Formats: sequence, C-alpha cells, structure tokens
Amino acid sequence: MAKLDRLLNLTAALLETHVPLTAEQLRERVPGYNDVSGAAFRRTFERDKDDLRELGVPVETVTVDHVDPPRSGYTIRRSDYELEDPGLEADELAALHLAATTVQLEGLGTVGADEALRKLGGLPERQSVGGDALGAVPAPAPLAELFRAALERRVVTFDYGGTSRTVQPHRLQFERGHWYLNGHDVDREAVRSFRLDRFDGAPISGEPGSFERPTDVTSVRLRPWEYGDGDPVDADVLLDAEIAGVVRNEHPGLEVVEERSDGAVVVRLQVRSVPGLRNFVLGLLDRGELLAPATLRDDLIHWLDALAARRSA
Amino acid sequence: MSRATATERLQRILVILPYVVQHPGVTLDELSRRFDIEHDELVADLDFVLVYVGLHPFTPDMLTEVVVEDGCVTVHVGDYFRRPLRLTHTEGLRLLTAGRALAARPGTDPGGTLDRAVAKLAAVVGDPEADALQVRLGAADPEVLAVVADAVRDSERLELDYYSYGRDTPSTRVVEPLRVVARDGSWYLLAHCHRADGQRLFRVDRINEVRSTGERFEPAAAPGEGRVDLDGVARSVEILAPAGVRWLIDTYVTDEVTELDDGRLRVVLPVTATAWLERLMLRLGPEAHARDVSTGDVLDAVASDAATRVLARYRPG
Repeated sequence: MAKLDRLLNLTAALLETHVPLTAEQLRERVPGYNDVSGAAFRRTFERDKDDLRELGVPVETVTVDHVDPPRSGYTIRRSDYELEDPGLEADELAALHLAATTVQLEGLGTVGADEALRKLGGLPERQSVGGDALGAVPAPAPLAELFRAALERRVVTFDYGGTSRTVQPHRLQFERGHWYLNGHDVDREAVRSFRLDRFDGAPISGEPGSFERPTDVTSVRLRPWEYGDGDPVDADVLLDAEIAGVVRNEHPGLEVVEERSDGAVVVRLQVRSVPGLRNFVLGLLDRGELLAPATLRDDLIHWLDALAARRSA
Repeated sequence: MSRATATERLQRILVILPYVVQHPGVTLDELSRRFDIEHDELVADLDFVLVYVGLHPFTPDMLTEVVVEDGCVTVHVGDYFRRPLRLTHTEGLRLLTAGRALAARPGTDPGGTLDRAVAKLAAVVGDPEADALQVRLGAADPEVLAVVADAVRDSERLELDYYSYGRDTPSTRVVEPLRVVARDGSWYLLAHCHRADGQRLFRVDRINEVRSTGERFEPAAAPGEGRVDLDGVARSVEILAPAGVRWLIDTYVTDEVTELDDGRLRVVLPVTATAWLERLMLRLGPEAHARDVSTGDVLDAVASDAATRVLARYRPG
C-alpha cells in the first residue's frame, strides 16, 4: 500500500508544517516520492493532491515568494482541516443514525451519511432499526453547490426560465416534494424563490462572504394564491365539511373565520394571484365556494359560464 | 484480506486515530463495532500506521506509536490527526437533510433529542443559526399520523374516513396498515383495504378520521410496493391547452409535451379518475380541449358538465 503510506504522510507533513512546503521539499519529506524520476513524481504528487481534496482534505496552494523565482507551496490549515467537536451526547448521535437510516437523500452518488457519522464518533450502540427507509428525498443536480453557497455566503448566478439570475442564497427548502432556493434576487432587488428542478445548467458561485444574511429568512410561498407582489386582497372561501379537514391538512395554518354547525368552515386567504386563487377554488369542485370579494366571485362565475356554454356551441 | 481502496483505508484511519487519541485504552472490540470495521482490517490498519506513518526524518521518535495491549489501543502521535477531518458539504447536506426531515415530522417533540442533535450538527456544518436548510416530507395531522404509525407497529386494523381526491368521494374503509412512507411531498399509508380487496396507498392528509378497532391481523411477510392508489388504472388523455400555461407541465406528471406552432401546448398525461380531469379542465378554461388517446373520444363535455355543476352552487335555484 505505497499509496496509502504516501497519502497519510503527505497529510501529516502538510498539517505539521508552519510554512508552506514546495513540491521539492515534500519530495524529500514523504517516503515514496524520492525513489521515482522527476516526471513520475510530478504526476504522482498531482494525483495525490487531487485524491486528498476529493476526500475533503483542504490542501491549500500558496505562492512562496522568499525563494527566487517564487514557487507554489502547499499547506493544510488545521482550522480548515479539523472537525470542531459538536459535543453530541450518545443518544443524540444515535438519533442522527436513526435519521440517516430512515430518510435517504437520493442522487448524490456514493457519498454516504455513513462517513459523516463515523467522523462524528461512529455508532455508540449497535441497534436494529428494522423496516425500510421511511422517506426518500431527491437531490437535484444544483443542490450540493447551492448548499455550499448558502453556508459560505457566495452569490450564485444561474439560468432559470430563460433568463440569467444573480441571487444571494439564503435557504434551501424541501416542501411538497420539491426543493426550492429562497434568496435575494440582486437584479430584481427582491426576495424570490426558485425550484431547483427548473434550473438550466449548473449554478456558478462567487467569492465566499460576499453578502450579509438577513436575520429572519422568509420562507418559500407555496400556496398558489400567494405568488406575486403587491398588496394582498382578502378572499373568503367556504369549505364543505367533507373536505374542510383535508384542505386544512394540505395547507396548515389557514385562517378560519367561521365554523358552521354542519362542519363547514370559512377560511380567509391573502390573495396576490387571482389565477392562483381560481385554481385553488376550482380544485374544490362543488364542495367549496368563493364567497368574497364580489369582484373575484363574479370573475369566477364568468369563467365557469364560458366553460358551461361550450357544451351547446 | 482487505479489499478496501487506498482512499477508503485513508478515510478509515483518519477517523480511528483521532478517536483513539481522545479515548486512550479503547478496546479493539469497541472500535470494530463503533466504526463497523472487521477486526482483522482494524488490526491491519493500526499495524500499518505503526510501521509507516510519521514525520521526516522518520527516526523512531518521529514515528506514530500504536500500542495494542490486552485488546486495548493507545496511540502516541505528534500533534497531527488529533481531530477527525471536518465534514464535506455533501456529507453535511446528507445528514442534515435526514435529521431535519425526521425532526420536522408532524408530531415530533420539538426540543427533543433529535432536535438538539440537528442543532449541534448544523453548527459544525457551518449553519450556526440553523435555518439554511428546511425539509418537510409532507403535511399531515400529527394525531392521525401517530395513530396509523402505531397501527403498523401493532398490526392493528383501523377504520378510516377517507376522501379520495381523484374521485372526489368520501368513503369509510377498514384497512390493515402495512407501512407508512413519505414520498413526493406527502405521507402515505400502505394498507390492505378490505373494500378494494388489495393493497392501496392512502394519503395521510386525506384521512378525515381514523378509529381503532382493537382487532389484530397477521401482517404479510413482504408488503408490496403499493404503487396502485385508490383510483385504479390510468388512461392516456391528450390535452390541447392555450399558450401560457406552463404550470400545467410543472405541476402534473406528463407523458408527452409538444409545443405547437401557434404556441399552444399538446400534452399527454395519465388520468385515473374523472374528478381529477374535471379539476384540470376547469382550471385550463374554455380554450382547452381533451381527448381519450386510445378511444379517440372527445372529452370536452367533462369540463362543461363540471362547470354547470359548480355554477349551481353560485346560482342556487
């Protein structure tokens, strides 16, 4: 295992050094580098650096300018390398294990949660979890890069719906089976949400630390009648008893303004999108009714009249 | 012996060494169990480190010293490898997603063990406010979810008042709960349904009421995939939709999408139940047309009939 030997000793040497080491210095210090020709050493060294970086070892390249001519030097900053101790109690670590076995993030390749758990201290007690995964969450292509950008406060640029967007990423949110990015759209000077499966191509990240995160990040608006800007209009919708519970389950937190004795309820919606409201109310079929405001109710009746009239046409 | 690649062994050694440094005298048995490594692989890794790993000029005082005595391991190292390597973004993302998803399950105790664990994990991943990632597997009434999950565990028959969205019909059914799963943004109960005489998927948020029966059943050895929902088999329907209804493609599962020269969309999608198609056609408006792909039947009356029915609510009498 000459390679394992090299990678371990290379990592140790780069962690221990106080000044960046040049390739030539590393060739002297790491066994396995000094018994091959110069060209072979270069190739091996490059590959080893790539392998280490792939594992997440932060091998840094800096310019060493106290030699003439200046050369590339290498180091690993301990603060970048070391996992800070999260202080997990045994039961907390076990809870994370259970979570990792019951919820799978699909489509990120072979990089497992296992390795993360080992770094955090492994599995304190072997436990039989039993049963299958409880849920699967898809990982669309831009997810990992956007997560990194959100944590490191890097501005991202990407193509979306035929236009290029520049966004300060605040939060990634999985709701209703889809991933959303919520952030500040720099060109539109407003908070916007983007569905990750509608990205065209990969996002490009800028420099870290390039914006301030707001203290209270707004959540993605997922109710169809809430999309859009401008001041909201209140709309009251009657839900019959058979569907009131189902609709309120699907949209937790709906404001109920009236509970009728037959089990029907009236909910008040803050509407920014009239087509969104129409889609919601039509989804109720004849088990619900848009009560107010009168203008929106008249619009809806007009829409239904046009549909009903087509039969005779 | 070991078939692990050099980088796999490297990863392993980079977590075991720091653990031993921080827990001197830990047993081989515990290391083997904790990190899920075969005993002989573990011993081989430790031997390897003893023989090969150190710092220039690799004189005895510069080599890592691993001592295994009576099955207990102690490592004397220099300053390196005293902490594990930090999590990569992908590792952090994967574990945090799982933790957040489970912690946000309806009915989970806020501030409980998992919540605390997730907050600590978020801090070392680089999300100290713990709000850069939110995962909700689905909305559901926590009490209903708890009752159906308990019934799966205890193999207890349940009676459900269920609203079939696709058919727009409420019904009461006796079911044998087999599994609770989250999929595509909703919680589902896979159960054997007496009325349908087969396994069906029930969306937990469409269970209006659930009642315990106190009766036990023999669970099937291997529950099926349960891909069939209550609405049964789908037929293919072709929709001609006016321009500008991108939401149609984004919201529904489609088999075919073609943009016509005049900007209209031709979409073929699976339809299992009439009420489902009614909603779609009502939303698309009077410009849209529907046709059954296999029979060629024009289905436009679906929309006009439904519109007439809904209008009766708005203009009673």
